[in-house]
Amino acid sequence: MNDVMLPVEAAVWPLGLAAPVLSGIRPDVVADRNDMPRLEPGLAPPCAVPLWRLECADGQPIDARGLLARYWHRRPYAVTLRLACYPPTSTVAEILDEVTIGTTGSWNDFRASVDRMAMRLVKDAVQGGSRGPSADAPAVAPSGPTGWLQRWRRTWRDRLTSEWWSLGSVDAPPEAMLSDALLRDIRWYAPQAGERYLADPFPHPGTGTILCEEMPRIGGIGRIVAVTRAGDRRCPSDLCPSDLCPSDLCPSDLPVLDDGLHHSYPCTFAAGETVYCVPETSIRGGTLVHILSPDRRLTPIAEVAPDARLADPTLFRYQDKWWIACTDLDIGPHDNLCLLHALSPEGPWRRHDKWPVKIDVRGSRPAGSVVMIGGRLIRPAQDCAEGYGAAIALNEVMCLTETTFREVRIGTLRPDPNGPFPNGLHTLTHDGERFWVDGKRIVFDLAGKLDRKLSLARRGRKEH
Amino acid sequence: MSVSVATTRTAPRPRVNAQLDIAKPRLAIYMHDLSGGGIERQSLVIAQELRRRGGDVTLVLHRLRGPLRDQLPAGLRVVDLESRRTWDDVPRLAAFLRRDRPDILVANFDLNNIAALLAKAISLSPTKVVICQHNPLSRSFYATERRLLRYVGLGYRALAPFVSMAVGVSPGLADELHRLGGLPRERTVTISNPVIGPDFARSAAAPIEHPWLNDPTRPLFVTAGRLVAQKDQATLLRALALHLNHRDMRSRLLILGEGPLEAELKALSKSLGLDQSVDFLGFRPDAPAWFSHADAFILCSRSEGFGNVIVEALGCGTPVIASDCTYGPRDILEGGRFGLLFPPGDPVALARAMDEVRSLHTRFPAETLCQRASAFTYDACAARYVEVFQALTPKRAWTAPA
Repeated sequence: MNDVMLPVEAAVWPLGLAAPVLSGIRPDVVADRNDMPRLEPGLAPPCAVPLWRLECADGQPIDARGLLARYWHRRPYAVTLRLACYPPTSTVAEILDEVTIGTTGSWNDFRASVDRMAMRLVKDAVQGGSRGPSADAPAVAPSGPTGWLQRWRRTWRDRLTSEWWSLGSVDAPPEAMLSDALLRDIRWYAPQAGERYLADPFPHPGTGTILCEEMPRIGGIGRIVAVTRAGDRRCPSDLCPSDLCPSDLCPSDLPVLDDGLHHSYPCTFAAGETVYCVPETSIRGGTLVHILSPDRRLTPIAEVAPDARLADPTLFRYQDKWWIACTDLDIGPHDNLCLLHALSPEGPWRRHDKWPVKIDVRGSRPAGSVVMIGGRLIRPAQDCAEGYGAAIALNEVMCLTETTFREVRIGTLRPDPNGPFPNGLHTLTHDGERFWVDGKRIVFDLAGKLDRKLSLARRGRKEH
Repeated sequence: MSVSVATTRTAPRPRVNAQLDIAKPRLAIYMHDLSGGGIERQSLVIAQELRRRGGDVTLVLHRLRGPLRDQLPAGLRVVDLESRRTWDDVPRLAAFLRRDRPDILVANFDLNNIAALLAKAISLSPTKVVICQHNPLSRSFYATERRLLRYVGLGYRALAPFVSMAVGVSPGLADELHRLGGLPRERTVTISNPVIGPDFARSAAAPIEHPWLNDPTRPLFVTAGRLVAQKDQATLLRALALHLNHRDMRSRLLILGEGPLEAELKALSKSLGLDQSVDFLGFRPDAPAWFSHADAFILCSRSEGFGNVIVEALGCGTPVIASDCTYGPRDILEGGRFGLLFPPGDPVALARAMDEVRSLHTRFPAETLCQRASAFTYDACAARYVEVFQALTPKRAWTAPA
């Protein structure tokens, strides 16, 4: 990441931000010092000089007293921030950039993420990398009980419970993705909580198996395994461990990827006879494009971003180019979408002109395969406003080139509140016959949590 | 109702209590008449809101006529210029300005704006003139309207020194006032129309009856507007026919409004085989209640200055599909963030947008749409006007709304 040094002349924002006078930023536009855009607390439109202002969607500056406290931990658990440019003497702003970030987490974390995002907006604007106004509507005004109450409730919920994920499938053609009835009849494979859960299902084309992440319920790291629906003639049922077999989902004999690092989200893409796989890896620069053989061996063929930590890398093809959609964990865990492109899966992989192309906690982080349906490029994304993997946003990509990107949200898939997995939906893929999803349920797990704490204490580490 | 109506021949208002009255802002709102159009209705709303904020408001009319006479706020002073043509207003308005000397004269509508500026020029009055532009100045609009309107921009250029502030009801119109009207950027401002009033929620929830309401199996579209060429309901009917061919949705359409093209549109509907899918309801004063029951509201206009009905539909939480005409819908829907836009006069594109009807409520949640509509409340609009007036007459004191 190339950080820029902003010439700072002015005061300090209440949030701890430097409040620079952006001298010499747009030499093509500015003629003399009075025409320089200014970014200072206390200045409000109309102003005699061009004014840049960091504000919320309702036009209030983000350093307005009590503003952030009103948003913190309250519905819709998202706040839209924008960098607005007011021409001299005007009260009508041009939106240079707009992001929507989550408001959950601790108060300090929230303020830090606002600070970080504000600095990013200014930095990108200075470098000419502003994204313009978002294609989606800004987050609505906050509502509900005070954030402290909700924060307290969630803290205790996290102390007493853990997440249980499982896979489900729905028999439907790909076109049904745009139907509001898509997820009415999900067949869940492991509704009862056990020691290890499965998530992030991706089909292994031509084999009838599903690659997914297998993760201990508490602690530990994930690995990639393959599973087959029980009853399928390829199911090696004699190899099923007892805790997974009752789920009607049989694991393969050996894990597909288990090298001591955390792996998840084994995104697959078939091009002719070749199947590519790009699993998520926890370490910086660990994202690799592999060729996946029919016997589930992975052969790395390209490094994607040696200097970045990428989450949920999703490989797809669009207009003779190969693309990887992902989330850059250095920018934020759930709220950004970054793109890389290459002429072939072997690379070299280049970053999109805008990095990230989108910052919106309600629909940026990838959530399954990008597919073309009826000439429309549909990209599932995670709606993490209410929590990690709370719902799936379906976005239609309207414009995608090396320098531009625009997508609009066309629908939302929410978990069935009365179903066995009412707390989240995280991935949506299709294997040619059926959709695969993974669902989240919060389970009471005091013993597991205590055990985890004790084991960490014994090793002298803190839980994060 | 105690409406005091004065004419130009009446005696000037006595100057009583001049010392006590000195800080009270005195405003005159000039418009054509009280016909039932959106501009007249909004001017009355603004007059009332400004009075609530301590303004001494006089309504000056080219002619006191029209159905809105019954809705004149109680106690509002009205001056009837009793003119036959708009140009006749000029000397009479000039006489009013010389005699009454309001701090600010707010003029509405294209030709009335010109008349107000001419009156200001010949009256030598210190009154500051604020013109309000509700329609585009560009060719795209006047192609469908009176030929005389094409010279409005030229008139603004010639009379620019007399314009203290020009209000465009959308950012595009404010930009046109600068580009085509020759007004300096610092003397143009955008103030949206006041659409959402305090009783809006009640009118949106008013009970209505129709056999097509509350049938979840058949999507229901609603449109509202005069049945004239500008509103282009013919394209909507053609799009509906295409939409019904595309999808097995059996959607239906309710058309609110009346106008000279009613017979023609009914014939078109019949020729397209839409008899069972379209119902012409005529003018309905309770339009928001109909919008509330729709799966989507459609506006198909070839040109719009603003588009109040779009705001009303948003206020009901109803998704909007609107033509992307030069101004208005694009500004209200923020380029598609709060509703679908399609090219004007393109039935294929509109049909494609109508095909999305099932997903519109998840794509545009009602809460988001209502929040967008809240930018167009009476209160928000009046506050913007007061900001402008305060800047023009800093010695006058406005109060908080009563």
